[in-house]
Amino acid sequence: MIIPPLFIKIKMVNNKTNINLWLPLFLVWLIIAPLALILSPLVLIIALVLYPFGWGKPLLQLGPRIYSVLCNLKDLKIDIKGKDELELYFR
Amino acid sequence: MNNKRKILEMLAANKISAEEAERLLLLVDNETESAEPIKSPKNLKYLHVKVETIPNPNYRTADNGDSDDEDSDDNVNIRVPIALIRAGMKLTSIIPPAVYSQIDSSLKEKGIEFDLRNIKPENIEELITALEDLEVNVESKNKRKNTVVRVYAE
Repeated sequence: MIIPPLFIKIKMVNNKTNINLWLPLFLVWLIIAPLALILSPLVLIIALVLYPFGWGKPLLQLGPRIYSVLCNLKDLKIDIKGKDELELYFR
Repeated sequence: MNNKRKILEMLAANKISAEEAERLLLLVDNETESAEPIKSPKNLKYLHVKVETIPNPNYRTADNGDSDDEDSDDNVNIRVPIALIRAGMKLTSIIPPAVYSQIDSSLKEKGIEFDLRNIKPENIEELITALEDLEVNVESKNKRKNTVVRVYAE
């Protein structure tokens, strides 16, 4: 089973700040998951109403597609080193 | 291999003559030779974008030799999972039809003749397979610093 990244590393170093954080993203998913479950019947009704206008299918696909992008964020690394330093790492 | 065996079985059962069997065997051999070898796609995992800036050792900075802002050697290292590119490209399917026409007209205004609806899942796979051969190397040199940009998939 593919799961979204559980942590994000944020590192910012410059003259004034020195931040090195591992943020627990799984806490955010724990909040969002029940919310998405609660809202899903509502989305389904809205999609059925909007189906004749061509918005139904995109609306139904929105959830799975966004979930897929979130899951695949794992291992994304952006590392910029220069005078200032910035690192983003989804783990 | 199965075809050759079938031909030999038919010959043994006297269903075909020796000449016919020879001709069929030649055809089977030709077919095997002309078939393209299946290219096994490498298991690509990441797309890398790297920018490396190295200060030119031959360049002397003024007075005390301290480097100013422009001389700071910036290095960028971006690693994008290929699966994220695949998932991102599939996001085009959630664009409502009404928005497609707006995007098309905006692209045409900029002189880009491209229809997003033409992107099919098989095109995405082709694109990702093609990334295997992608390698962009840009090298820029000036008196202060040398910059190397590399884009590749592995």
